[in-house]
Amino acid sequence: MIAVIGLLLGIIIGVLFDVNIPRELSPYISVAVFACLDSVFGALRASLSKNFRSDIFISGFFGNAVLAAGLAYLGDKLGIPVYLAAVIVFGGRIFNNFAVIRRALLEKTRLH
Amino acid sequence: MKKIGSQLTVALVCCILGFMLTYQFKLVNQQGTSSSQVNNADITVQIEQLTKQKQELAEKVNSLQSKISEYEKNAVDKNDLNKALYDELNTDRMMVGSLPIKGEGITFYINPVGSFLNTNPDQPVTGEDLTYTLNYLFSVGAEAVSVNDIRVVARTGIKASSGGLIKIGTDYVSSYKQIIIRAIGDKNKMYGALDSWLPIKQTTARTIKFEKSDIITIPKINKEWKFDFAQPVESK
Repeated sequence: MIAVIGLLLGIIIGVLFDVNIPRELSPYISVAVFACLDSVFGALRASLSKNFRSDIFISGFFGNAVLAAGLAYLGDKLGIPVYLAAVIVFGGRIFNNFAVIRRALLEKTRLH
Repeated sequence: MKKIGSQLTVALVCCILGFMLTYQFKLVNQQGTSSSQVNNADITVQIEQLTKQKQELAEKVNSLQSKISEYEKNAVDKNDLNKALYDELNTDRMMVGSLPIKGEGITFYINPVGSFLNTNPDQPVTGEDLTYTLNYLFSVGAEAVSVNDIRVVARTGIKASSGGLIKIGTDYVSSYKQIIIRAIGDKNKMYGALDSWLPIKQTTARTIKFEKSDIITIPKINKEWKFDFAQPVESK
């Protein structure tokens, strides 16, 4: 619940305030956002299986974001679309986590 | 207490995620959907076709012009009047950029300064900077100028374009790459003028360098000039 409130608060701040981040960083931010979504789905899965740890979630959130953005930047400089690797890997993990979350929720509703 | 702390941290992290998602959506919407739907492969193929067409047309023009030069030389050899007309014609051609020309002059370099993340918000050179520099060179005696081997004459318009490009006539130069301005004229006079006062100054985004040159070659303009609206005033 508190996570949803935090998310809504972040969306409101994003809508109301105009922050000037250089446009050249936009492609790296989009890959970082994707990596953060993977962490969030992983956290949801962990909380449903009752082994959520906030330190792992936070370190994964920022670590994955920085690594994904760094790889995208490196790929730009090398002329290789390395960001594709991040998109494929994180996309796969998001779908895997979503499948586990879906099964866990369905199990929960069945037991109730 | 520890639990509340971890929950607050999770809330803060989700807040950051929400903000980043919203910022990214806003940015993509601002850029518009038209640029994201452009097919890069189609544009590359079109550019290659047009470049090939342009090359073929330029070769045709060159061969026709060499035939014209031959006819003119034959006519000139016949009498002095024709020679005078031919010389005046050549002067006019040099003025409008129809002839490649060479001579002494100065070469002016504008070098953009790269940064690690390429996040320097200042465009190294603007259209106004170029216009001002060329105007100054003309005012200190330049007889012909070129920018990155693009001949600039009286009817060559210079204006800023998108993506850091500057449009010169029908060609483009990137303000994020080196710009070389060549000017034919009295090299000592022009060098002295630039040494005493630079039309554009060095900034954090660019460095300026200029030097005298004994031989500078400036190519011609591959363009046919025509007047759709202007007409000569008849002399009484």
